[in-house]
Amino acid sequence: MRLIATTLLILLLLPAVSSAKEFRILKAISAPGKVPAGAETVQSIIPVDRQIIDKTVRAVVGSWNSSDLQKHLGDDFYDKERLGDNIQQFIPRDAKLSVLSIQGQQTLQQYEEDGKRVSRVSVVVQTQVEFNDPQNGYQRFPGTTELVFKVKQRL
Amino acid sequence: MRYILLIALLVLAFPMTSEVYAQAASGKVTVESLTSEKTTLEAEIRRIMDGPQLEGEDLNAEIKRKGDATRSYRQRLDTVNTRLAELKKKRDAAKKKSSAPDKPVINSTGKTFVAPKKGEYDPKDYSFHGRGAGPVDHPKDLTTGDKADVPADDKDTQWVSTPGGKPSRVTQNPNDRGWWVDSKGRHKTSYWLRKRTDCAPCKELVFYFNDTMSNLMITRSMLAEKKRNKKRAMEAFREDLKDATKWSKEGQSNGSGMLTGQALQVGFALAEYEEAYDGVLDAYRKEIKSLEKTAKDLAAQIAECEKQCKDDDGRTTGITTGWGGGFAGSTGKTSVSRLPFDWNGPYSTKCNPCRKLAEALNGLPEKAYDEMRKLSSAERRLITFRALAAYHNAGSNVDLNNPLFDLDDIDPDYFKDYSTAKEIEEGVKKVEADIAKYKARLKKIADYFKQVMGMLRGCEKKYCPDQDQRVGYLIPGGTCLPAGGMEAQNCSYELEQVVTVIGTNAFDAQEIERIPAMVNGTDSTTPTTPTTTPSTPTTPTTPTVPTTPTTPTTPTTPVDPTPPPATPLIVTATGVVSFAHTVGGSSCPQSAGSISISSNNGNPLTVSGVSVSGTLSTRLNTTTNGNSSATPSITVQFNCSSAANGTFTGTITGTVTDTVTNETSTFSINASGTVTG
Repeated sequence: MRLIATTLLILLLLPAVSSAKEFRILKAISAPGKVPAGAETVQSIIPVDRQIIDKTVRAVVGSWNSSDLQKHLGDDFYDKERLGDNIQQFIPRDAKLSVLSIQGQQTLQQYEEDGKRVSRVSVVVQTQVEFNDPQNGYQRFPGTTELVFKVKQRL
Repeated sequence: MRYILLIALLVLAFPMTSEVYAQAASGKVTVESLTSEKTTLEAEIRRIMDGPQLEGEDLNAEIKRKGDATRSYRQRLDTVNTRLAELKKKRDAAKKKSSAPDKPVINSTGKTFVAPKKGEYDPKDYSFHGRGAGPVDHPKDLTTGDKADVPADDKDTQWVSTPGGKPSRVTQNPNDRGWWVDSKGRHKTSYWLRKRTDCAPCKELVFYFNDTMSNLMITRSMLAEKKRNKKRAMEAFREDLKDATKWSKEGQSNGSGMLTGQALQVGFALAEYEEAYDGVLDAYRKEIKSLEKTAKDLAAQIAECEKQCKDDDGRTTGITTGWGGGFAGSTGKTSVSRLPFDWNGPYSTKCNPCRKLAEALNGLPEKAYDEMRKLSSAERRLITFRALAAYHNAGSNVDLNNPLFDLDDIDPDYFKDYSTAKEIEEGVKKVEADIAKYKARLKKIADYFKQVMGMLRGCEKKYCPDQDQRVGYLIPGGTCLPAGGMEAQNCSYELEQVVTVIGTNAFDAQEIERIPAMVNGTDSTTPTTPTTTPSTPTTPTTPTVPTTPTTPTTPTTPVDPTPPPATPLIVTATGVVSFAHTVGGSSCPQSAGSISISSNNGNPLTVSGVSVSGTLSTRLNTTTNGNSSATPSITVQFNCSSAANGTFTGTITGTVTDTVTNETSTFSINASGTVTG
């Protein structure tokens, strides 16, 4: 019985790899969340244009390993300063992050504040860190990550 | 009658004196009268300087005595020379005016410069605007003497007509040397053709960039000219020295020794002059370096700033400064090394009551730049004063028309009142006072910056304690690129968080730390991307939870400096390999399942090197089907080679080759089975 429970638990923790045929992404369901004081919730969510998100993702990924990265990150981004420091310290200067594919996008939350529509958008992106190591040759570290953006659009 | 006769006699006896009196009475001074006076003065100075050494007088005493004796004559000579130069200039100008053609002919082919039509150019683009300017065709045969000085194919160079139809050279090349030589061999300064931007936030930066480049061109030109003049002056000095040495030798040979002092005096003057002039040249070089650094900083800032104005294709709509923005070690912040305070703006605050303070900070660089421009101009003026002083101290008469003092580039009228040592000394003092004043103002601005920054922080703390206290940049996050009908300025974004789904998260600071270890194969903390999907267990009795993936994350050898295609081969192997065999009851061989292979690009694949490890290694047979198809498969059977009861496990591995790209990848699938009975 304990074995069954353990197995089920592990299966729950690994939803992405549990499918037999393909990688499946755990998609968040948009739901009302906390909004800042003074902000108004919207009747129905208007999804942020896919092109805007696509270009934004490419801009952010393109700025990785450059001094520009910090300006794309929100003030609440976890370990914001440390990320910049670590990239500078541990990543070779010629390393770049490339976008392999941009997958599902979803507007998770939306509200209006100061004449702007503020949306929280989730996008799943397949990326790859790549660089040439002098000893070990070409290196690549692929990964699939979910990026959450706060997008402000003037109404 | 007797008196009349006496006066007539006196006039006849002293004709020159009467002429001078007549001139003095009429107040008219002519070039001829000044030339005459100059000759007299020079003769008198020469007479004193050639005078014998007094008894008991040493060399220094002799030089001092003769210097004192000639001082008043030399001062007068300075004045005469200055007046002469002024008069000559006026006379030349008048002559030129009377003979100037309506449309000036500027080259041997008779080609004329025609003023550009209205609307064809914007005079404000030229650094000498206000004096009238406009583009003209390239006068290829403009210089006949030194064509190499004016590269005809310089794409960044244009020729313009200035007032009076004079051609002038303008450039947009930041590495231009800043000068050219006209057909008469005269040194001329190239002007900086202003760059313009359509990107509104960057206009101020472009203004400062143009201003700096304009100063740079002038300073480069002045350095070249001063170097040439120094060479010319040194040659003249050496000639003098040669003569003086010759005379002193003659003096020694005839026993008088009286000219030795003059030789020494010329020698001293030469050394003094050279030293003074080297100081002047060094000052120019220093100024050039400083201006170049500022221009490069501004170019970097413009490149950064113009990213805000990218169009749909990612192109900037503004300018290329010629000095790109990508500098090693660039912080990406808008720091300007020459600003006298630690500028990292523009600044903004989220705290409404404090916004005015942030705005006050943002206005400071412009004020500082204004003072810096004035300071720079004063410093250049001081350099010229030093050159004047050096020239004067070296014993020459100051002649402002001397090419050495071609001061048009600084301020044509500024130096005309400075011809004597005293005047120059006063001028130096005045400029030094100006420099001190501008420096003090800059310090005041720097202090004010610190003060306002402190006030802003205090204000935020007081009025907005719950908000993020940090003073941020004007545009937090980024500005959306125009898309889907959305204007860039109407949309901004910031990345809030990044969650790992699978593989490497390049935005996770902790994971970044592990990358070097992963490269060297010493990291065992987290498995990286598996290229196969671990099998899913179907029977609860078999522990088929995926273990560590076996695929190496990086192809390490051989060292290949060429990156593979952007999209790497990712192979997916799916299927369940499991069996439950009853000895004597189940068929032999018994099917244990199949494995399906596919790739991310859909190319035909071949499977090779399939092997089984673990306790199932001798118990399973594998057969590959559909090689060279996009989805080959492997059939797995229990081969009944052993009837021993028990639970057996193992891993099936193999290599998959993309027949189009020849890329290879490996897969692995866990297998399990039980034998009973």
